[in-house]
This record gives sequence, C-alpha cells and structure tokens, in this order.
Amino acid sequence: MKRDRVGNFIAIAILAAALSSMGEARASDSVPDSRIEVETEAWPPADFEPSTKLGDEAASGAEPFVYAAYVVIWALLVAYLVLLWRRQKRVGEEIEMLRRRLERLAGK
Amino acid sequence: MFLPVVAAALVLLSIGLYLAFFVAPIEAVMGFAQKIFYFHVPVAWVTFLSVILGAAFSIKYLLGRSEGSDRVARSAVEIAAVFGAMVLVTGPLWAYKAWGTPWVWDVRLTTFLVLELVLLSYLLIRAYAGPEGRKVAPGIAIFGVAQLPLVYFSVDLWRGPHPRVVTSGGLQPEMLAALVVCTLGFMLLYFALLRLRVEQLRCEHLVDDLHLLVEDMEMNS
Repeated sequence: MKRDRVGNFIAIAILAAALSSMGEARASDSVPDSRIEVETEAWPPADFEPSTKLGDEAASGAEPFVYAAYVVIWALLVAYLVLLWRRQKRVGEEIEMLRRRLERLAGK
Repeated sequence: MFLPVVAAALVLLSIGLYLAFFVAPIEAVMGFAQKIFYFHVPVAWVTFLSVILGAAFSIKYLLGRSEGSDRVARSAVEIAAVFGAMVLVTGPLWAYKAWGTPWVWDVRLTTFLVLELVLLSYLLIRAYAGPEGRKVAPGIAIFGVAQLPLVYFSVDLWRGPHPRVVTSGGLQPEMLAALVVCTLGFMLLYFALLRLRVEQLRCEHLVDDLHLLVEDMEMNS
C-alpha cells in the first residue's frame, strides 16, 4: 500500500516536472500574434448628415410606387368604412330582432 | 354635421392631391418619390393625434369610469391603428425606391412598428378579454402615448436614414401648401371617422342594454 503511494507520488512529480519544463520552453519561444491591427473609425462620423439621394435610375421608376402608396391609403380607408358599415348593419339587425321580440311581448 | 365635415375633408384632400402632383415642384434630392410625403406625413401626424386622444380619454376613464370616455378612447385607438397601418405601408413603398429595400431597422421605423403593435394589442384586449379588458386596455393606451416622443424625436436623437425635411425647415412654399392642405383634409376626415365610431359604440351599448331589458320583460311576462 505504502509502495503504491510512493509510486503515485513519483509519477505525479515526474509529470509535473515534464509539464513545467514544456511550459518554460513555450514561454521562451516567441509567440506569433494572430491579431490584426486595423484602424477603426467611429460610425457614423461626427459630421454625418443623414440624407437620401436617389440616383437618376432609381428616381425614374418612382411613379408606380407613389401611385401605389396613394391607392393603399384610400383602399385602407375604404376597407375601414366597409368594416364600420358591416358593424352598423349588425346593430341594425339586432335592433330589428329586438323590435320583433317586443312586438311578440306586446301581443301576449 | 357629419356629412359636411366629410365633404370638406374630401374637397381638401382633392385640392391637396392637385397641389402635390401639379403645383409642388419635384424635390431635388429624392425626385418624384418624395410625392408620397404629402400623404404619408399627414397620416402619421393624425396617428399621433389619435394616440394622444386615446390616452387622454383612457386617463379620463380611469379617473371617472365614464362610459363616454371609454368609447372615445377605444374609437381613437382603433382609428390610430388604421392610420398607423397606412404609414407602415406607404413608408416601405417609398423606401423601396429610396433605399433599395422596403425596410431597415432604423430607430424611427422600429419604434413606429412597436407603436402599431401596442395599438393592435389594445384592440385585441378590447375584443377578446371581456370586461377585464376595460381595466387593462387604458394602461396600454397610456403606454402607447409614452412611446410617442421616442418615435417623434428618434430621427434627431439617433441619426438614421429616415428623412427629416419638415423639422429642418427645408420646404418650399408650394410644398408646404400641399402638406398643410392634406393635413387639414386628413384631420377633418379623422374627426368625422371618430364621431362615427363613437356613435356606433354608443348604439352597440344601447342595444346590449335593450337585450337585457327585453330578456327581463320576457321572464316576467
């Protein structure tokens, strides 16, 4: 038992010595730096003025998009009015149903 | 009063269209695509106004539990959602030409999208949460109005690609005239729609009361 412990201790000591000698060897080597030095700039720069400028090519085909935008606005308005009209129709149907029920009650 | 207001709104919007397409000059930087601006911007302003009204009447409802305030708040938020959808559709149509992509995660665009989602969440709660929704929804409307400064000032606070022509005062008189007329037209249309929707909600409320009354009468007869 005691011999096993001594054997383990010797083995660990040898391993530690080997590792430390390897570490020293690596430390003495010149380690290449893989980082690349790049000059960075803050974005947007301090004098940045946001603007949107269309090139001639982009500006020339703008008409369909403009007209589509106007059509979409009116289409959404009409859709909302249709929704309101349907709700109003439902309210009217409920009032009619209530009127019939009241007439039945009055007839009893 | 409703029909004259709608008629006035339609006349103003027709004049606004004429001014936008035939009087206002083609903008030097953005070209013809800038014409979207004459409807896009007023619609956005009306959305803001409607969100403010919705929140103000929500606060009034929370303080006084008045049915009228609740109806105005609900109507205002609903119309704000409709106008907000117009902004969110017309903006990308312009952006597709201007930026080459319909959407960028710019702060103005993103905050406006979040505002629209807040408005939609208000409407969903009012539609599906039952009576409890009436207590929760005003808080959401107030949350929506708290977001407005973020939306409005985002182009100044965080420099992004969204144009800020109006705030920088770069409008020619013809352009300004078209913008003002379109804004007035949309404002009138908005108030007409608001009045219509508030009256409709009042009718729905009366019909609900009548249902209860008739049921009582049927049980007692």
